[in-house]
Amino acid sequence: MKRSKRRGAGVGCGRPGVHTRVSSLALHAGAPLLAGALLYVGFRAESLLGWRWADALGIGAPARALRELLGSFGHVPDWVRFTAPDALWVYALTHVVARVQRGARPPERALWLSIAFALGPGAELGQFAGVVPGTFDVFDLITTLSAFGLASYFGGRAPLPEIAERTIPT
Amino acid sequence: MRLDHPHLRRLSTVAALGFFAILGAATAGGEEDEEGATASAASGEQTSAGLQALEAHLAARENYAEGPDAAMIAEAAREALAPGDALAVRVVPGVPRKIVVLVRYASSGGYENLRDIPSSERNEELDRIVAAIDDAYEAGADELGVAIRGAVFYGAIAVRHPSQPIEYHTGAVISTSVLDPLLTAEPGPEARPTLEVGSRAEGTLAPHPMPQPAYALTLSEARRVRVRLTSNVTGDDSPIAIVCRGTVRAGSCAEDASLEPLEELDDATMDDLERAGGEAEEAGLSFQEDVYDMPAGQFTVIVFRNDCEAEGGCPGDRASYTVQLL
Repeated sequence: MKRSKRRGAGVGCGRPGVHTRVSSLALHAGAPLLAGALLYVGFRAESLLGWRWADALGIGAPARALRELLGSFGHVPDWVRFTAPDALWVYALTHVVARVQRGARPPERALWLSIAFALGPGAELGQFAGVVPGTFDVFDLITTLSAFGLASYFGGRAPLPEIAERTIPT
Repeated sequence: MRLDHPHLRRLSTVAALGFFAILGAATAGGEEDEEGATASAASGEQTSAGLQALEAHLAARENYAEGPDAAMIAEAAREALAPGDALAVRVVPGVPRKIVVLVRYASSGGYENLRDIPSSERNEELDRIVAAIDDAYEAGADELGVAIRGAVFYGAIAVRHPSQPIEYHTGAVISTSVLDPLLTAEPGPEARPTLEVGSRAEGTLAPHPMPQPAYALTLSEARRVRVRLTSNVTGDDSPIAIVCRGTVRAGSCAEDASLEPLEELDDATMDDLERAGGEAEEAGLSFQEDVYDMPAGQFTVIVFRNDCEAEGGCPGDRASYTVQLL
């Protein structure tokens, strides 16, 4: 009874705890993903696989209209176009993993975070080693490492779910 | 099940990883320049300062022209563009001249966006622009760069070095560095051959789009000038000589800029013409001589090919000639 009431009260009712969690997730995962997606849509090549998916899903036309709109804002620096989207993706991914795993035992948490690391800075290191296709760039490595570090920190500090903390298993 | 139950946590993490993996996969498949690294950008699509400076003048439906004959080249290139396209032309004088033509495709007016044009057809777009320039300007002896961009990227670039075929650089995202040597070249003197009254010049024509031979003539006072042209190519294919006001290229010598030769000549001049014509005919040469009453000033004597419509070139394309001022 207590649980259902809290849930009912929390959804869309602006209760401080739930609101904070939602906005925190939006800020640390949603916003970076949205920003990265806009950069890809507006300023990267149309030969990317996502454009074919968009066409297959029937959203190619509005996506191109958005691209046209974004392109009208003019030139963006190359680091914004090429480096920022990757760093934003790594930040969002790492934040989500760190956030979900924040209640786990440290070894397990480290294991999951290592996957995020491998997909972000690790891929860049793999390019340096020549085992991952692509062009290594030290600036990309620095930005993805920074994104990983910051997201691990903020994700690990997110408050644990109130429901899990305060309900008694039946 | 509790929300922080280990199984649920793992499941959530796997789901998140899968979601992000799908997002990552969506960004795969780009061309080499598009591989998401500033190193790629540095070697690939980074826009040079010179290019950015010229780009700043791109405005829809307008021509921007900078340098000698740039306005004429822009006007010619405009013939191959949609009305809403933006066009900027920079000409750096020197030998050879460096000509850069930037085009930004319009996104409206019913014309295709650059991104909608397959790479294979972009070369044809470039050909049309180059052909329009050559028709009016004959830039075959110049360093010519033509670049087409869409809203964001350059997707087609043609570079042609003097007397060479066009090099195409076409793709989703392409390097613009091939334009840098043209944009950063220092202006230099353009040594145009000159003629004086009493002198002669010999030469050989080159086919389109090589420019027609042009000789600068300066008169300090008004006088009568006879322009005599002989060539080893005879008949309808023989070249012709025309005198234009100012220091111009052949393409700039419109009808109203060319001088009209005298139609009525005195007997002595006619006798001399007939004698010279007879000698040329005996030597197997074509003969043309026009007489002009010219004011003081700058003029250009241009030897025109007699272009034909033949596919494999015209008989007069490589004619040898001698032009003489009397």
